[in-house]
Amino acid sequence: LSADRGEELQAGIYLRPGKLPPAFLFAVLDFVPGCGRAADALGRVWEMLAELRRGVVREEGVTIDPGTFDALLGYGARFFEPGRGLSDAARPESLVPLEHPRGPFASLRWAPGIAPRSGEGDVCLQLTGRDAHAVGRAAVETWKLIADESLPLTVRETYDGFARDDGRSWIGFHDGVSNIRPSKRLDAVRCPGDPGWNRGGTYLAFLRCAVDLVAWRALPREQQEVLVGRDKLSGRALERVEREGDRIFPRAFPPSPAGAGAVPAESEFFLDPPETGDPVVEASHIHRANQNRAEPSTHAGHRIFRQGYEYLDGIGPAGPALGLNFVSFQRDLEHLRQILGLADWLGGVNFGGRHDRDPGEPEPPELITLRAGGFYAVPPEGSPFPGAGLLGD
Amino acid sequence: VPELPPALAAGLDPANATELRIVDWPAAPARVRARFGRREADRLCDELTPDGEETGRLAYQEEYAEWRVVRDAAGPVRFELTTELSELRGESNTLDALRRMAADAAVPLLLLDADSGEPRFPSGSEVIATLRDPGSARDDRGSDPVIVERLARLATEGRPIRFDDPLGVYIVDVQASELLTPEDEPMPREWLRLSREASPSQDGLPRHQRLELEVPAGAGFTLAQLRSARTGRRIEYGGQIAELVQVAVYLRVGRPGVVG
Repeated sequence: LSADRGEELQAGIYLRPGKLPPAFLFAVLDFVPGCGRAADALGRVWEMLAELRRGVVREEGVTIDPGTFDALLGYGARFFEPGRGLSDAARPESLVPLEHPRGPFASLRWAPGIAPRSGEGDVCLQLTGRDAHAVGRAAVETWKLIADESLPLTVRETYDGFARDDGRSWIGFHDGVSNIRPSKRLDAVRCPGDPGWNRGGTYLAFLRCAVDLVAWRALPREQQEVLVGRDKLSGRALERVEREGDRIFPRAFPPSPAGAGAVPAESEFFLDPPETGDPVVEASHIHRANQNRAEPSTHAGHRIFRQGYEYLDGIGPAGPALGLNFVSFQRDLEHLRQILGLADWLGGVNFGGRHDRDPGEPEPPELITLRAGGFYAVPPEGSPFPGAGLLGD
Repeated sequence: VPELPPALAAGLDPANATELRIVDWPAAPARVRARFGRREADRLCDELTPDGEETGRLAYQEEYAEWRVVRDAAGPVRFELTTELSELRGESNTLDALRRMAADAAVPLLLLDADSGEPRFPSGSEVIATLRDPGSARDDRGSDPVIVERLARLATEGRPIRFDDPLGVYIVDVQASELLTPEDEPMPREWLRLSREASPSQDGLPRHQRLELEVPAGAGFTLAQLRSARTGRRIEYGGQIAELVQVAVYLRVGRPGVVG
């Protein structure tokens, strides 16, 4: 699994083309207040996880298949709070706790009743692997190690998820289509070094987004397509929206962009659709998320590399409790902030659409709420564990 | 105009280029932040000589937006930002620089992707590397790469292109809710004053070119007591506010495939 990344980045960031490992578990850990030994504790956990990846289960003394999961270690904003023994300059400027109870973003709000710091800890472990057993075992082995060796760590919460094998999301559309092309992903992800200890690392945003599937399914297909910006079946990007009275008819680009002059190949056109000039299409989700159409190396393009995992928390009388573990990696968290903050991007609406709409256009729906979330600094690979230098080890 | 590339020449007739395109970027300068880190860069951007000369503004505020900060003994009390090209003092923040860069960049360009082998649009850096006048754009700025990348892409699509009239750099967004009062409430938007519209806005597009921010007298605190939700820090420097200001140029383009 771990071959799918840049050389310095930790395992668990899959930059090369291909499907994601199917299983995901995001664990949030806190240090016990007042206890030292943070470096020792992280070193012990990392050592155990490395053994497990080689196929050695410590407690049972048996061997299992090697290479069944990847582990990624991140440091949250709380880790850098005053009194933790780190200098003020050590904290990356944009690594801050998500505001609570207001926000945390202009149009993406907390779900009712969500406790403060849900998803935010001193450190996080992202576990990705071949199945739920592989990532679950890694999490439980971590918990056992902490208990057995009285390490000053607590696993406060975990969030699970899975990669769909059909390339679609819960709302029934293709997902991840507009992600950055593989050859450019490292440009979007790798931190150039502010602060210096994270040079060659990256920043992770974890947002567990609940999707109101009942509300979504109440919308007719043409309204769904206008909100997403793609044809629901083929995934082709919309070119324009035609009208007949109060009805709208989304029209996708043809499979081959005839008459468009010298343009890239059809596959490129599909992945990275051009601007259309149609204000309804331009207000859709895929266009709002990438208004400048810029390459990842272009600062104002605000490109991020997304690596999301769906989740299902069960089904009750009110319907399924499901959504997306939105995970993105970016060289600076500022870029995600801009995407979710600027009014013409995704700061103006919760998902897509426009407020000053014409007849037939869908009202921008309140489709997504946040159930957990946090920002983490993800240092490059290091020994005895990533970020050890930060702790003076 | 013989030196104009075909895409811009075709756009000289406004009827050929009517669809709006907005190219936007943050007012806080990217280059100095990348070089020195955000905190130090913000300090440098506000630097003054003992006799009050704005050396930081001249040296570092280079995103077609410049600001000044009025301070009292406790810190900033007033922030003023302008995008009026005639008022900008940095030598790269000029109308002529913007026009030269556009004329150089609005030409078709496709590259082969290293992984897929398929043709693709170039990045801003790749466009800048091909410019006839290498000094007309800087790769490490926020503004230049995103402008030239978009122009090259539109030209590659075969579209006529022109700057919207009147040509200018406009303030298109201020994320005021990211500034928090001492009670941790979002700052009231009314504390912002946007002015200097370039012309009456008949198309609904904002064309503000000046921004002023000051906490009203009687609030019991000043700008220095506001906190940025972006960093968790109190406001010390203008760059902490400029990073919440988005500026843009407006382009008008025609249909693809029109320009051969």
